[in-house]
Amino acid sequence: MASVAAWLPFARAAAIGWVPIANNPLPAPPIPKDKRRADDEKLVINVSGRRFETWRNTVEKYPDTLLGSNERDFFYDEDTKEYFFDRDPDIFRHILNYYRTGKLHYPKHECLTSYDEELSFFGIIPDVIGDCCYEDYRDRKRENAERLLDDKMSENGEGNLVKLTNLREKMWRAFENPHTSTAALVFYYVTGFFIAVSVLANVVETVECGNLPGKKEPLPCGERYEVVFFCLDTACVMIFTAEYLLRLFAAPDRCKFVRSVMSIIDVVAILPYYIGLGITDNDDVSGAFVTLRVFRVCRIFKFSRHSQGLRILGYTLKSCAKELGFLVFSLAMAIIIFATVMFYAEKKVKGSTFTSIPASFWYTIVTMTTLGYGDMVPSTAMGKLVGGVCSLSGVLVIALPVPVIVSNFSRIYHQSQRTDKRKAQKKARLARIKLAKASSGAAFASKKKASEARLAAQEAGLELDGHKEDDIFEMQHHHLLRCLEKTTNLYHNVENGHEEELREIQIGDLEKSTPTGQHRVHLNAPSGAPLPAEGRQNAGSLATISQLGGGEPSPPAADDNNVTGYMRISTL
Amino acid sequence: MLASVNINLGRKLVRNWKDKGKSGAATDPEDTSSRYRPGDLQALALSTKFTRREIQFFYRGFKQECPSGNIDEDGFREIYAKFFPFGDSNQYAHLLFNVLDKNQSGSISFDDFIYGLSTLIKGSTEDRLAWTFSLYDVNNDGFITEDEMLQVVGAIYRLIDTTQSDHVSPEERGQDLFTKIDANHDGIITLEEFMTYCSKDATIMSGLDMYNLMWET
Repeated sequence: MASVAAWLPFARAAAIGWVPIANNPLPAPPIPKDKRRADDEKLVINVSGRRFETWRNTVEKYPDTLLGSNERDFFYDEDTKEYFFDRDPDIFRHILNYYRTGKLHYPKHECLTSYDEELSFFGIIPDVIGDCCYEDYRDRKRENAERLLDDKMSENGEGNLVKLTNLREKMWRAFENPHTSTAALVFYYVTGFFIAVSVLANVVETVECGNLPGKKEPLPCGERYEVVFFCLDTACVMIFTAEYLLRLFAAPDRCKFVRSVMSIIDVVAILPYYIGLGITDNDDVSGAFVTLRVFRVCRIFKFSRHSQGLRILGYTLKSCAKELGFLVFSLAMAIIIFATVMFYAEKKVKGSTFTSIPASFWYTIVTMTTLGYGDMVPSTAMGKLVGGVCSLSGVLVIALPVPVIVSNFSRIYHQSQRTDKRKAQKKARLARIKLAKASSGAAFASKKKASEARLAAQEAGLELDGHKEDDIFEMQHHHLLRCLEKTTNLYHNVENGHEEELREIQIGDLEKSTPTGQHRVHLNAPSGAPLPAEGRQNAGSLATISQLGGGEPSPPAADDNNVTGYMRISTL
Repeated sequence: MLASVNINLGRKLVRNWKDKGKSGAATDPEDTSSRYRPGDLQALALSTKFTRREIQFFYRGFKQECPSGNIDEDGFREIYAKFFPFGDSNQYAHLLFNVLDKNQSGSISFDDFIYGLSTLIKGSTEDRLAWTFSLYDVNNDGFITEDEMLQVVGAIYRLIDTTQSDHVSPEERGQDLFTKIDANHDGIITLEEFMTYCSKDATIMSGLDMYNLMWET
């Protein structure tokens, strides 16, 4: 409404047209208390040093945002008479433009999360982003969300490492991620090996192996060394069957597992063998038996568990089903058209190979894919013309859907590569984070000790000269923690690894800061709490330090509590 | 000599044609040659009796909504509709547009706007009534017919929620008013009849007083 505030006087002025037809007397107009025209006032908004100036009217256009409401008063600086925000000035530019023009734009070079944060700080909902930038914003938001989900899922996946104790679940995880344990890895390689052996045996079976004595024709190896191959086949099938049964046992959802593609491939790989066992040497069914052998080649698909590239290829084909369908459909259409034309063109020729339209299909396919075997060739001029057009159009029709499939494959492949890279980097990242945490924890512990020593010294009424310039915040924080310790009779503890060096540092510092020899005596005399090099519980050293002050010694009950009931705080 | 006359004529024609285009109408938004520039601020302040600051304020608002310096009827309707979210303001906005657009060019420039505003805000009662008369006089022929009166009354009633049924329908109200104002019952209202009626009717006078009050601050 306020965006047309300048027009409101005009609207009110135009109301004179209503006066003649008014039945009742019109109400009195509101008289502004403040005679000064508020709209002439300029506001100065200082965002991290960059000053923006605008009319008060402009920001009050949207009263439900931070700048348009009273909320901005919280940021008013009385001394400089301006509104100060400690935020990003580059993004604020866009936010202020929203007030000025009514359209919120999203700059492409800005990070989405930082932009979102600024918007939420200033109380602007992202839905008001203008149409020009809205799609881009939505796309990036979706990408971000997907990535976060990915991260979270993979984190959860790895986070569960410790929890599974069930045998079944352990086996399932071993099957799905071979890198989790050595047994899984061994299993992975063994199955891979046997798949390769099985496929190789199938192939070699059909190679000619030389003559048996007494026979004229060379025999394929399969028939010559029948027993060997049979034993090999049996062994492989044993392994595969065992693997399948184990997977079936370990699967969390058996029905889903049975329906999954990989399990179907497994079944198809081993079933021919069993069916072959069942079938006797009957001539009728031996044909069927031979056909069954063809299915043994499906074993090669079992490699897809071992190869990620193969999985990606399969996934790509699945996701490009629409393009592939289009390709097949358009090819079918073209084949029918050209085959028909060729057949009728070549019909009159004597001894033509184009005996029927279905027979011409073969010619069309071979020509469209630019194979050109030459077993069927047109002889009439018309036929040659049609053949030429056929081959040209074939190139076009096949070339069209291929880039779509290729780009899909590329995208999925890169995505999976990025996931792998991130997983690898995650380990290094976690290690670095752990190191940073540890070092900050060590810093925290050392500061804590210093302040406690100081407090203890203060309690004893000592003067500490050379007082370190620790900021008041740290001192107050440690005082707070110490109050907590006193209240609960528990003591803060830190990682055992760091305490030794810290203790020694602290003692060294204390020696410097406490001039009186009396305390040095205390320090050196191991009064029930020695200063060992071994990792002793921290509580002992704390007791020492608190006794340093000379004040009330730590209550004996507390000592017991220290050892048994100490509190582990997570290092900040 | 004939040739030079022809050339001059040609030049004049071209200039006329160009001037027409430059008078303030910017029908083609890409045609930057016809972008509008308002008159001199000082001159405007003198002729409209507004202060400089007031004119500045109005101009800034005007330019914010129509950066090209002119506003056409659609834009004007949009802006006016923002003040009346509950009804249909199109009719009344159309009437207002006609009054403001004195030269019937199809768009209002800032000068038109500010002159109109000056009449209403700073003008005398007679000026305001004259302006109201021209508002009611839709076809600008100097008379208000019954149809025009009904049109205006209907437009005003439509500004508010149109689904409500008043105990008096707008047509009745309009006819009633028309017969009251038309003193000599000749079917048309002249400016004199209008002024006479308005200065006599108590409600209207009090309404005008209220109106004056709005601008006193």
